[in-house]
Order: sequence, then structure tokens, then C-alpha cells
Amino acid sequence: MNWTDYIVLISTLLAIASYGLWSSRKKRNLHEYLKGSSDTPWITIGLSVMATQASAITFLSTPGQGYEDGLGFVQNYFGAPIALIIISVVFLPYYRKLNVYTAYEFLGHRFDKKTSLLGATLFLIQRGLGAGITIYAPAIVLSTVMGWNLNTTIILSGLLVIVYTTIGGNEAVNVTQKYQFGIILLGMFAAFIIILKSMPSELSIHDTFALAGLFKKLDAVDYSVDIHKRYTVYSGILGGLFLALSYFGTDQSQVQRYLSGSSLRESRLGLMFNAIFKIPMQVFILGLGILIFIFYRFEKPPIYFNQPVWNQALAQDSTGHLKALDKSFTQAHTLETEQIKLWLKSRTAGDLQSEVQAKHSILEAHATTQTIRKEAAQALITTHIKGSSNDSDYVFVSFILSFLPHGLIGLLIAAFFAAALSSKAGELSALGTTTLIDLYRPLAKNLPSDKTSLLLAKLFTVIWGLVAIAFALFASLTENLIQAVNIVGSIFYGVVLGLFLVAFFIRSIQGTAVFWAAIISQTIIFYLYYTLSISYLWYNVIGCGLCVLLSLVLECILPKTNRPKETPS
Amino acid sequence: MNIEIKDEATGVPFLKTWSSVYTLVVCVLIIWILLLTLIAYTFA
Repeated sequence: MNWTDYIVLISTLLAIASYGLWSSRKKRNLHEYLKGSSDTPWITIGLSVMATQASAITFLSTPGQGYEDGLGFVQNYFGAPIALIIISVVFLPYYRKLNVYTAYEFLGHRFDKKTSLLGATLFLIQRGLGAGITIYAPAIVLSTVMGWNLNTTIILSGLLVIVYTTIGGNEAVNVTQKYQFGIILLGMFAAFIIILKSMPSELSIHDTFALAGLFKKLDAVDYSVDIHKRYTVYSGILGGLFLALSYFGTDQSQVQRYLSGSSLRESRLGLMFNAIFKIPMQVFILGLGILIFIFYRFEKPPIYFNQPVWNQALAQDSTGHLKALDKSFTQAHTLETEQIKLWLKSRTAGDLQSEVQAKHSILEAHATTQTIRKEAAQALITTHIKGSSNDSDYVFVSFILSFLPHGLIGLLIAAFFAAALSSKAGELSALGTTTLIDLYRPLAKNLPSDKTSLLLAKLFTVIWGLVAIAFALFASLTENLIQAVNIVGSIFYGVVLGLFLVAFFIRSIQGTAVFWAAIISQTIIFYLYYTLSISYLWYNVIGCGLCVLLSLVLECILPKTNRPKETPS
Repeated sequence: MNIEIKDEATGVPFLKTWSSVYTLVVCVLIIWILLLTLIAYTFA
């Protein structure tokens, strides 16, 4: 980054923060702090829902996922459009008619206080852990740009998020998210075009696809029925449906976004916007990762994308092991590029035999470069330098810094950082709101005044922010960020969804039965997670199924008390 | 639990007014799955 980038970076960040705070300057009562204004148009809801879900993690981590594993991850989203339709038809009208602040308040209306507390607690544990993962996003951007230690940037960005959230509240998150989201998407398009222009002239679009196919990056669908495979069409449609249903339908960080719609129609349109554009957006972002992968077949990539960590390790490398690995990597990569050029030549000449031979040589050479990369990553572990989660999270940000034109680098980094702060802010705001509304208020002896509640909401937000920082500092992630967040979610989401489905569809079941069913189901899910090796997406289905089934069984066994509460219509 | 799911503005049941939107969303999903399958098998 040069001075142009720093000027753009600082002025963009200041502009985003000032606009967010200016837009939310009058929102001082509890209702508006928690929900935002109630006149949000559908396009803002749509973009805000997408930005909260996509967040900076998606933009940082998903190109890396595409770079490493290709398009297969998109199957994770196959269930989302169906889930959004169900939410639009069933969940939304209930929430709006009951005029609730949080989704768990609804459980209190339908069942009883303890079930509402349980739903809120499960959300808080899951989101609290998730917040510890998502805080890596702004920290990664900051550490890559400034070359600072990751722990320092986790603390710095964590404190910034806490200040941003407590000053601006939910409204500031809503109004600024769409702009950051827009800038990032524009930046991604720019990166896309720049990569296409930087490719060797002899490589046609068809060759690019063929090369990506050769490296198995275009295997977007897997129709096998192996439940141990992480992403298949079936786990994506069924597991993804349950994951999206619970995420969009019961996770307060999402519910909070669309409850701020001016009417049911606006909220629904916002959700349908996501149902249409979710998959193409993911295909585009994963595709960008694949394009970066192809680009790096001709241009030498860094052996380790997290350059601050690699440079720090190199400085401490007294044995010269890392330097030797870097040298071998350069040689192996040069060989791979040569083989690809040979393959291109034989393709152009129509020499089928040479083409097949070149394909084998390319794959062999690539296997060698991959082995060296793995060795380097392994060698870094022994240096005990904290390298965040997974090197693939650094692929895109490292590419931006190395190959995009100055000015655009500053703008994109600013948008990334602001989006990371803002999605984090949305998450903390949801945690603070749920703690106040679903935990503190029902348990407090005297209902606090609106002014005290507002202060408490901010206090809880600060506490959750500190918990997230502490978790990020002590946790060590082996998955990349986008997958880690989905895994943590899947462990809890199924049971929470079960609670809501029973609430919506099985009128005869009362609070006590569903409460114990949820506790037993969650315990079984924990046990299964540590004993089975099935795709994490299935835990959404199993958790939900168990909760519904056990509720039915327990309702028959447990002694009958009062009739279930009727909710106002 | 007895909430009728109707459009706030028109009072028409939601499923009736929005069925074309749902159909569109499901069609788009199917098209994407088919398109991705085609890409996967063409360049396998």
C-alpha cells in the first residue's frame, strides 16, 4: 500500500463511520436502538440480510475456499432459497403480528418463560462462540495491511467494534452495511476483470475452464450419497435447508434485520431478494477464488499467503529450513507453469496425445507444489507464531495488496475492514439485545425503565464484545473462517429450529415437553459431534428431527397441565 | 396459535398473492443446480 491507498483508506473509513453515526443520531429510545427504525425499505433489508450473512468473512474466506477446493462449497447454499420461502410464509407473519424484539420472545408467548430462556441461551452460546470466530475477519485485514501481530489486531478491532456498536446501535449497522457491501462487490468485479486481463494471451476462456476442470475446481455438484462427505447435493439441499431455516428464521442477528421492515411486504421482498441472489453471489465469489488459482499457475504465489506471519517466521528461521522450502517451492512452481504452457501448446496444435501427457505432468507438478506448501504450513506450527485460522483466509486479501491498482487497494481494504466491523457490530448488537430482552428482563425482579434498559443493552453488548476478543485470543482454529462459523452454527441450530417448528406447527405440545426435548436433543448432538465423522450439515437435520420427535414423545408421557397459550391473532 | 397468514395491505392470503414469486425462486434454484451440474460434467 502507498500513500494514495492510505488516504483513500482513512477517508473512506471516516466517511462510513460518520455517515453511520449521523444517520442514527436521533435514535435514542430503546425500541429504535434495538430494532432500528421501522421504515426500512425492502432493498435495504435485502442487502442488510445479505451483508449480515455474507459479511466480511464471506468476502475474505470464500475466495480462499474456492482457491483451495473449488465450487463444491456452493452446495451448502442449495437449501437457502427454500428456507427463505418458508420463513417468508410462516415465520415472518408471526414475528410481526406479535411485535417482538427478538425471536425468542415468540417462544415465551407460545410456550413459557423457561423455553424462551432456553432458546435465547442456545443462541447466546452459539453466537457468542461465532463472535469469537468472526472477530478474526477485521483482525486479518488489519494484520495483513499493517503487518502487525494478529493478537494485537484482534484486540484493536474488537475494541473498535464495541465502540461502533454501542454508539450507533442497530440503525448504524443497517444504513452503512449496504454501501460497504456495494463497494466490496465492485472491488470483486474489478479484481475479476484485472485477473482476466492479466492472464496469458494464449489462454482462452475455454482453456481457463478446462484448466480449472483439470484441477477439479469446477466440481460444483456431488450426487454421491456418502454422509461423510462434507458437501453433496443432498446434504446441501436438506442440511442446507435446515441450516438456512434456523439461521435466517431464528438467529436474532438476522431476525433483527428484517423485523425493521416498514411492512410485511417489504420484509418479504428483502428475503426473496436473498433467495434469488444468494447462490449466484456465492458462485461468483468462489469463481473469483478459482480464477485467482488459475492466475497463480502463471504467476508465482507466495508459499504462505499470510505474509506477516511468514516473514516473522523467516526472521526467526536459524536453520534455514523455511528458506530452503521457499526455494523448492519456486522451482516446483516454475516446472508446473512450464507444463501448463506445454499443455496449452498441444491443445492449440490439436495434439491429443501430448495434451493427455501434459495433463498428467501438470497434476504431478501441482502435487509437488502442494506438498511443499503443506510442509511450510507445518513448519510454521513449530514456530508457535499465531497465524489465525487457515492460510486460505489470506488468499484474497494478499492478492488485492499485490495486484490491484493503488487507490482501489485502499478503497477495498477500507470496505473490507468496515464490513467486518459492521457485521461484527450487527452480531454484538443481537447478542446484547437477546441478553437484555430474553435473559435479563424475564429474570429481573423489577422491570427496568427504558433508559436503564438502553444502558443495559449497551453494557451487555460491551460484555459480549470482550468475550469475543477473549475467545479469539485463546482459541486456535483449524478450519477456515467460513467453515468454522457454519460448523459452530450447525451444532446448535438444529435444536433451536426444532423449538420453533414445534411452536409453529404442533399446537398440542406444551412448554415442558419441548423444553426437555430440546435439552436432551442438544446433549445427543454434542455426543454425536464428538463421536461421528458425518458432514456437519446433517447435524441441523438430526437436531431438529430429534427435538420435534422427543417433544411428541414427552408430550404423551408428561402429565398434562394447562392448555397451550394462544397467541394473539 | 391461530394467525391467518394474509397480506397486510390487501388482506389476500399470502400464498395466493406471492405464489408466482415462490415459483420464480424455486425455478431459479433448479436452473442453478442444473447449470452447475452441466459445468461440472463438461469440464470433469
